[in-house]
Amino acid sequence: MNPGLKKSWWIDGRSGASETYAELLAQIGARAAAHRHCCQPGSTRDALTAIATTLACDAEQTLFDTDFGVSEIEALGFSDTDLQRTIARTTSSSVTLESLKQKAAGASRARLGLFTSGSTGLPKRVWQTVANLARAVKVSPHHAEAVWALAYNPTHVAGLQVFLQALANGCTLVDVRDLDRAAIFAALERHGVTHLSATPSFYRLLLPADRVLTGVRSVTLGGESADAALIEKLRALFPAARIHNVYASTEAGTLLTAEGEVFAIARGLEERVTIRDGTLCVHRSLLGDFDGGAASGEWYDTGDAVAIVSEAPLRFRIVARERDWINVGGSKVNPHEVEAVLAAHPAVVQARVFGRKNSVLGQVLCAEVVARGVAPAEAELREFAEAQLQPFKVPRLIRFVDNISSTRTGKVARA
Amino acid sequence: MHSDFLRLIDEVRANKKQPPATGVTRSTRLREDLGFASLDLAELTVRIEERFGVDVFANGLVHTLGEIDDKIAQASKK
Repeated sequence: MNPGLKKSWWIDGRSGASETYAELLAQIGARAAAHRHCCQPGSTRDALTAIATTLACDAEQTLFDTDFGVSEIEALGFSDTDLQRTIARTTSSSVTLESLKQKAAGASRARLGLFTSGSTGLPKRVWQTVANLARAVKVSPHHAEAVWALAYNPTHVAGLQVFLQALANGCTLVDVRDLDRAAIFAALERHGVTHLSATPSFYRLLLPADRVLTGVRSVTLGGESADAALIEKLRALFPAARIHNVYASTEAGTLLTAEGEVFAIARGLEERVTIRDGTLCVHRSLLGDFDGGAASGEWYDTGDAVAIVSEAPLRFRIVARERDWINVGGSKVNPHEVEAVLAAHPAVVQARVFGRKNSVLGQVLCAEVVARGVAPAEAELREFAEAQLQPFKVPRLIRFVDNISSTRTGKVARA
Repeated sequence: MHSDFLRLIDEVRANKKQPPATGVTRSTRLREDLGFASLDLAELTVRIEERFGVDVFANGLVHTLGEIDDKIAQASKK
């Protein structure tokens, strides 16, 4: 038996449960016979197995977050029937470890439908090709020795990129999502994690550190902006690691890289990423296929404001991200979506959702609410929102006010 | 410890559908003993900032209730 088949492809950081590459291939074979066009995975492993199957079959799949509620899925225009529908695929018999690795490295013709926070209304679906998602994947005997920790949502771009990098090299992936601090440290040490990619909020959870992790060789930050002080502390926690900062979006995948806070355009993309009027713009050839993306002309404006540090070579800082979205620990919240949910409560006249700067998660979601008559208890409105929204979209502080504060232009202010 | 600080902890617990904390001391740890995750810690900091005007996690995360209470006491003196 190929020794690569006996290796674990996945380890649950909490329980230590694991599954080998041989077992993954068997799962892919079984699932390909009834491939789901739309999938709401029940767990991280389920999500990754579904994605691996889609890669192996060169199929298409729309992936919902594991914690989307029924009403969130319905609001996106999908029904229970869509989730149940299966299509028989035929390419499964030829799936070998080698072919799976090649497909994960970008050879697969699969397309994945992912959800991103829309700038107006609801999240929108973006179709990404595996070839595009795997653009930053590197394959070599050296990379095959890595043990990766998965800290990102597997149905989002950053999580997919970690998965593809690990799968393309036949590496082990240790699931550390939603673990507490002690469990994260235990999982990193016990399973010998060498590569870590996560949001600044994830790393802040590990600080102040009472130990050093010398086994970690590579630390990547992404999803929200990281300050120099955090990076300094991470150098102490991971003395043997190279520390990188990446910029990626659901629409365009990885675009920028940095060591520290100053970004450069990723190698090979110099002609297709540019700065116009102080915002970062991406050429349409890099975009996934989504509503508005194709029609918006040759360049797509990400809405992220940048400040130029040097012109040649081009180096810059990211000053503000995506105008309206609120970044809660790396998860983007569309305030309009949350406001619509709160306003649906019978006792609510109007709601304003905003992010408040926070040293734990970057921003915390807060809401101002104008009540009809007697205001309900904060806990009651919170429970109402929890029943319909993913946990990170639920405002953690709700205040009842007489009037919503608005800006001079009459738009609702987003402090 | 400041009674309002303890009340804010219970507010966060109430939102998690947990009863008021009992037997907490200055050495009670936020994550290990109270089981606060990142979202809960963030909520607690926002509530403390609103009440006392101090960001208790500004210089890195803290572990125990006593450490937070000290920062609140320092801020109140200013």
